[in-house]
Amino acid sequence: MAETHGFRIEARGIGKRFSGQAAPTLSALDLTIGGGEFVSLLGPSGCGKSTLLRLLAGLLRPSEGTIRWVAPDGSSASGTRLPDIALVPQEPTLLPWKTVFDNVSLPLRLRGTARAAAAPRVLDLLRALGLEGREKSWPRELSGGMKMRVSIARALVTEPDFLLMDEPFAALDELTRHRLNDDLRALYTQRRPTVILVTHSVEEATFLSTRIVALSRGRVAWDLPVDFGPERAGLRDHAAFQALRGDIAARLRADQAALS
Amino acid sequence: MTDWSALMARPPLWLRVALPCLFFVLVLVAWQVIVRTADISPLILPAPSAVLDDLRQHAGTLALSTWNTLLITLKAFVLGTVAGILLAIAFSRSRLLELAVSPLLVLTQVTPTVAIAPLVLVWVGIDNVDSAILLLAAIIAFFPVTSNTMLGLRSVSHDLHDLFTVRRATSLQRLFLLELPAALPYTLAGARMAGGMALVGAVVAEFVAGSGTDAGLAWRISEAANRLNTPRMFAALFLLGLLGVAISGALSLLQYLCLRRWHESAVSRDR
Repeated sequence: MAETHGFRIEARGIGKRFSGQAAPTLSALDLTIGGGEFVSLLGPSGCGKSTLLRLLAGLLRPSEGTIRWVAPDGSSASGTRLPDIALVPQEPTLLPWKTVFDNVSLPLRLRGTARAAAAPRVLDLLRALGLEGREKSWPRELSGGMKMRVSIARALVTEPDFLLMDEPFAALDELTRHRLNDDLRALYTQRRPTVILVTHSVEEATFLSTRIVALSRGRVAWDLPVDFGPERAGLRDHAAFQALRGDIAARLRADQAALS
Repeated sequence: MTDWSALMARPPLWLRVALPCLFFVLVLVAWQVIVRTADISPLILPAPSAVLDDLRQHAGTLALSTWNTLLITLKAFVLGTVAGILLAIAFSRSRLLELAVSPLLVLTQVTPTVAIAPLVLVWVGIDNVDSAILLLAAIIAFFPVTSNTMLGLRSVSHDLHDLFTVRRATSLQRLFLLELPAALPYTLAGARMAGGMALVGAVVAEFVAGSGTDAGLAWRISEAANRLNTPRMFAALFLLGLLGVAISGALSLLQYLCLRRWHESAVSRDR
């Protein structure tokens, strides 16, 4: 399955200024993200991480610059060859009037897939995310962690080229967060979408990513590869992991100090 | 004592039905006693027993009138609700339309039905009084549906809209899979109001327009008033009240059935 999704994002000279704002949120930002990468966006609050994610998702238009989706053959994506993008927002935002099954199958239904045809894929994902037997539950019957699992399953159901996640685990307790991190990591190594994750947690970024990009003052402050390899079970206890985590936290503190 | 307060905090259905019925019976008994002991003229206030006699003697006519009023109320309700939802959808698609038209709609609501009834009669009611009554009742009924549905359509969370945008949903998919279901609790609350108002509209319109081919309860009341037949007036009023309670109850049931699975308002919570 590895390397099947070949789309690359090329963001060039991205600027974004919201009306009524003195300073632009993003300015002259360059970033290329290759197919199959797991990139975490870190940085202090207000540095433009979420804005960048919303730009990449197509929910915002840049004030300056261009965002290009480049297909494996080098052509710009357009028309019917647009990449499949999935978004996992901070809140699980399930449709309360639909069951877990119908929530997860929604993106497939929007493409005209019949309910019966969607079923194997949906049930498979629910099993992978520990939601087996929950398909007929209503969202209000689920805990916060389970709702987030459903939200992730819904994002993955179309086997997206890009999985964009905006602090999806911020509201969860640490244990749930770790477990979901493990599950997300497993799904990533199996299916290899390109993942872009906005997070405040250095540990989460270090554990999950193949690359960490830090933003500061609306541009890329630094860009660091994370070379722990695909197998990461038990990684959190390793000295190398702890060292990298400490190094990244120190860099972020330095960025913060430079701001004030 | 704690049993009693627990019972009052979450009264079961039988109690919710039994209590108002019991109270109503008490009122009737008191009424009967007062009328008999004070010897009040039946022209002013007939005893409940006299009203019951009249109900029994003219059951056929009154039942037919009740049926006619119910029919026109239901038609007005359906017409008003459908029109109300369509209008709300149109307004939510076009801000221009909303800004231009909605203030005029308020005009139809602040102008009393009684005042516009003669005009509607002139326009549509000359040959067909029934459709004039229907139209008047629908004009009153649509408004709560429109304003509530609009509120509901606007209250859909931005995150859900984003989800549909990222997934490249068509605007019809967005309407039917996201906006209308999200607005449903609001629409149903509006429909409950519309049910009551359709009945009010049907009665007021019949008072003003007179009766068409099928006389409704309002016609029975004004007819009885002309003949100083007070027991008949009470009998018709009683049936009208019963009709109102039935309509309101049916719409509450509909609301409950539609929302019980997922909406906070209908989901009972264990304490």
